[in-house]
Amino acid sequence: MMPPSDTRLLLLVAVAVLGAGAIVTLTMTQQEVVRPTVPAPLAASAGADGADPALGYGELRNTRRGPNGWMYGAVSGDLVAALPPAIDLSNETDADRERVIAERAELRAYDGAPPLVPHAVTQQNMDCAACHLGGAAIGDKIAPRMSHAVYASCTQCHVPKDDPRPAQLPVTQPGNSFVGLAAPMRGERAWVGAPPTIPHTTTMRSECNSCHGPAGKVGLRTPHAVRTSCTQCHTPSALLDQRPPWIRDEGNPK
Amino acid sequence: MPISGLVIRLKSTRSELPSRLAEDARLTLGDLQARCFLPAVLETSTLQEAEHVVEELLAREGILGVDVVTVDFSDSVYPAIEAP
Amino acid sequence: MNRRQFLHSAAMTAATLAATRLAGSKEPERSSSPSLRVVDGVTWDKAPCRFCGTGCHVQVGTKAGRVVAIAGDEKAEVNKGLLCVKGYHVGLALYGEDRLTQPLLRKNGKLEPISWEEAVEIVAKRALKNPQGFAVYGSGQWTIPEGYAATKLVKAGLGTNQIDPNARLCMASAVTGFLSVYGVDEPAGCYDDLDVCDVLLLWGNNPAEMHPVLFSRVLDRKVRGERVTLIDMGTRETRSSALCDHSFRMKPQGDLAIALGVMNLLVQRGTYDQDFVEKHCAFRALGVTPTLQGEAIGIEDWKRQLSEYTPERAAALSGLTVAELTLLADLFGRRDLKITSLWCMGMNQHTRGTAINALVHGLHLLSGHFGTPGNAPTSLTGQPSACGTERDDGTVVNGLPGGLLVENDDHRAKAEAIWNLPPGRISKTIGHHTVEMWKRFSTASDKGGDIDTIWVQVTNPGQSMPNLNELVAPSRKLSDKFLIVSDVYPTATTRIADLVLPSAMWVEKNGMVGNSERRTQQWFKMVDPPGQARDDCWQIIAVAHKLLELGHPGMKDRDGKFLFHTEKDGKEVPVWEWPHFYDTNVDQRLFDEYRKFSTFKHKDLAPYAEYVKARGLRWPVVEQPDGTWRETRFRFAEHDDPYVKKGAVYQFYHSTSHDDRAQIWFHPYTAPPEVPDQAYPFWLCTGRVIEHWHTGTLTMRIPQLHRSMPQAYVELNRKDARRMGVSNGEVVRLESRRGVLELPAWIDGRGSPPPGTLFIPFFDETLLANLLTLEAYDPFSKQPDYKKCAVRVKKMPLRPRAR
Repeated sequence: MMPPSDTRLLLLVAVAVLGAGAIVTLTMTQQEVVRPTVPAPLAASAGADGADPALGYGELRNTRRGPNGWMYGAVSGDLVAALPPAIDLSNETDADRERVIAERAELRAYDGAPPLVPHAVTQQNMDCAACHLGGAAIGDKIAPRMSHAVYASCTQCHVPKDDPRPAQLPVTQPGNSFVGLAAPMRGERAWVGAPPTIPHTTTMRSECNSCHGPAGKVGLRTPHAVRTSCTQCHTPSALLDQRPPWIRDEGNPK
Repeated sequence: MPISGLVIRLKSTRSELPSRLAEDARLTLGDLQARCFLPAVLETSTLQEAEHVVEELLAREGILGVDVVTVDFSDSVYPAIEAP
Repeated sequence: MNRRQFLHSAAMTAATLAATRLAGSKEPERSSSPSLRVVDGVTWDKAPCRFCGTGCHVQVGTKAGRVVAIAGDEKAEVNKGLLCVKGYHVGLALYGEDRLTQPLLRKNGKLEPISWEEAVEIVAKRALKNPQGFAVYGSGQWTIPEGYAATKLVKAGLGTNQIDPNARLCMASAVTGFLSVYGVDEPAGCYDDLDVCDVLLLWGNNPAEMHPVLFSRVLDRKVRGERVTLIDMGTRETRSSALCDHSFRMKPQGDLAIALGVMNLLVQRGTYDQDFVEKHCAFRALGVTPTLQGEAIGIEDWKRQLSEYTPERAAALSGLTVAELTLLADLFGRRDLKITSLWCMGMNQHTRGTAINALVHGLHLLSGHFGTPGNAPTSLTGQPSACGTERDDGTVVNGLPGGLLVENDDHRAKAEAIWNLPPGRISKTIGHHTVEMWKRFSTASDKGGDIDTIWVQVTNPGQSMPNLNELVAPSRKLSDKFLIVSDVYPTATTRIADLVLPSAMWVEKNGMVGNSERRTQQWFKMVDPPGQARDDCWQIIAVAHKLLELGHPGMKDRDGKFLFHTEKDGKEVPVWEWPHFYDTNVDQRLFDEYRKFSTFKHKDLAPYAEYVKARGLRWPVVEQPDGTWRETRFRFAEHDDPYVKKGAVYQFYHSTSHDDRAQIWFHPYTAPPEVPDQAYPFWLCTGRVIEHWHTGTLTMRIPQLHRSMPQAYVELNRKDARRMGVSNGEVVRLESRRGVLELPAWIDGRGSPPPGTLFIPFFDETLLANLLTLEAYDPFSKQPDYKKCAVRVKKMPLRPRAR
């Protein structure tokens, strides 16, 4: 169903406005607070053939398209700054990576464990998706996009790092000598310059963007975030993904 | 120089040992078994000293017990019994 | 090398050898496990999670003899790769620093280490001295072989029936509910119902925290765009309430009135499933002298008794509005909707637990919401193996394996045949159920306290029994009472025990468990237990053999063979000697013997080897002509249950009316024994939180879980708090007729109770909720009611807080 040409023009302008807004926001410093604004009134203007513009990869990531695209820019959208653009980020060091892996390990009992929530949460659930569904930057903090598909009951797996009760009477943390599996530093490459294989399971880590995208932590980010089809070049491990080969003689149907 | 083989039974299954054990030069520690059995070799100048060390270990916090597995005192002050 | 170096090296070798021997280290034998994977130096294998009755499968990663990681098992039908926060951290439960590693005997008030030989002898001698007074208190966290071995020791060996599990406190009312309706225990449906139901009803349970993976199985259908209506009915707002479409507040005990009121509405409107009822149901009520199976009554009589529960009366008793009851009746009156009811402790820990269980089954039967996928009254089990070990294995004072009963002459004969015992070895006198057992243990021997020894395994009655001040504490002042505890960490029970036996846990031993949907699951030992901790199963067999050596005649069967005689390649293996315990697979030997009991009540189990291959199988598992084993998802339904005769559509083949019909009961509403009054104006409810498993002995030692929820609290309604001048976080004093507890208040915290109601989670050993609770129990199941008693709240005088 094609929208009438007026609406298409409006759409074009809306997209242009939003795109411009995104670029403007990006050039602002991190410390500036974005105050909520009312979306600008849409005005008609002539376009070449009235068609939707083809967006670059960088804009694709951050733009909502379609007739209701402007809706997503509502209050939370204005509070939340746009995520960093998908440009080259190839200036990260090994030291950065080690630091990030250590930081991640603080919230995870072992590599693959669901991270603890480092901030207070409401006890009655939900609204986690407001920031973590797509990922968001608020002030100088980044709420990572969830690394797995959407599940309805977030607190089933993620508990807060700190005691949620109001009067936190002192209690001693128990001693536990468990040493969790360490996170891999990097994937292996067939030769220098080959795409590294994925050194971890993709179970619960199917959204590569969550850690490796432009909104990921410095040290883990991919140098080519413009490419969005990750598994085109980077292969997972069947064994790590619990898909071991079926061996005929075992008589094992599963 | 009596050389004794001991098994020190630890109270806790944590992986670090009670600190002063490692510092005692007379004790050489082996590999921890089942998270709380620690083989060790105790070298002292006299048997009495060895007995004191064991008593002291028993009294220490964090140690549940000490089993003396072997004692070699062929070098001790006790004179060898000469055959008639 | 000089002489000194040589002596040094020799001494170290000897010491290391001795330490290894003490550790009893054995190679884990699971190299044959077909689900084994080795990746990057980490060995992965399957196991059911150690925690709740959902029975998720995990993949356990081990390296250098230690657990290093956990993952959800992708191939498991129960959880399909997803876990909950406890499941993700279950590997850490093994590594708390104060694991019990030595047998300990109390001498002059202090627990001192002793040898296993001495410990086993002490236990055996207590049993020998007074077998009638020797009780075993077991657990729904026992593995199936452990429970089976304990049952055999007590019933075939000692010749008493004095064995009862902590499942008495958890599932007993569900069991009596099933028995009174279907004539046999366990749900007819399975988790597959959750995947297709249109309506999910929660009857007083909080699955978002207690069966999280099952709850999200339904929630995630909504995320994928399916239409499912979730209705929560409870005495307070919980995390589950927030995720449901409707949340109804009910009064304590109001569940009885809800079931009665909705059934009455269906009858008045004529919207119940008349065809189903006519073909497959019969009616029952308690007779003049109430018995579990009651008396047959006609449908008109049943309707007449039910008619008292008009919408108005049901609303008044239940706390729901007439509109809410009508909504439920509208749903149940529709044939096109698939309705699944879920319940757990709200309905089981109930002084009328048998009644409410029977009534909810009755509601589903009456309205025809039974038997087809998505239509199910599904009782959820709390513990990982209350089904597999207790209910199916018969580790109860009146039971035998396979659902047989000691009071039935034919059943005893069957058991004696399988166990090859001289006739008459099994006693027909029922033992003392849990509350009675502890009461007698806490009573002086010359005043009728005829239990003098309790051997506790895998449970923590010093924290989890109701009314601790009366049922547990007094026993410690009676010098002739002896408490033996097999556990993995110091607990509230080990602290007061006379003999403590360090035990192996979870993947430190082979095991099998059975979850809420009748799924029996198996795992292999993956790592060694610490110190001298040894399998509970070994402990039972060692005591049995010591009794044999001391001359107890019961430890041999009719042919003079040891009750736990185990062979490998035609030779006996001395499995009562720890170094030989893993020479062969004792689990397999015990399970394959236990299997023989499973067909009597159509709870058929497959051979052990089948469970090794599978992520569990739901019984009855029936062998097919081609040699494969087929599990049963929907019992009593012709479309899936192979035992249903052709053309029957539904056949309740254990029907108590012997006509293949299920029983729809009338039970009247009965008020709870203790209700709030002037002196004690608040309701007290107790329960759990997602972070902690039961008494917290495992989870409080997992830093991530402890950090998130380090201490218990009392949930207090906001208005009540304002009225009393209590601030959020303030420590208040709770008093019941039985005890006193001071703890901090939490307003609108995890849950929100209505005015006049309080809630305390019982995971905190330092804040014992059970000092306050009431031990009143259901007359048939003997299960106590932890959800309702009366307390008063006092503000504490201000005082400086200790830092």
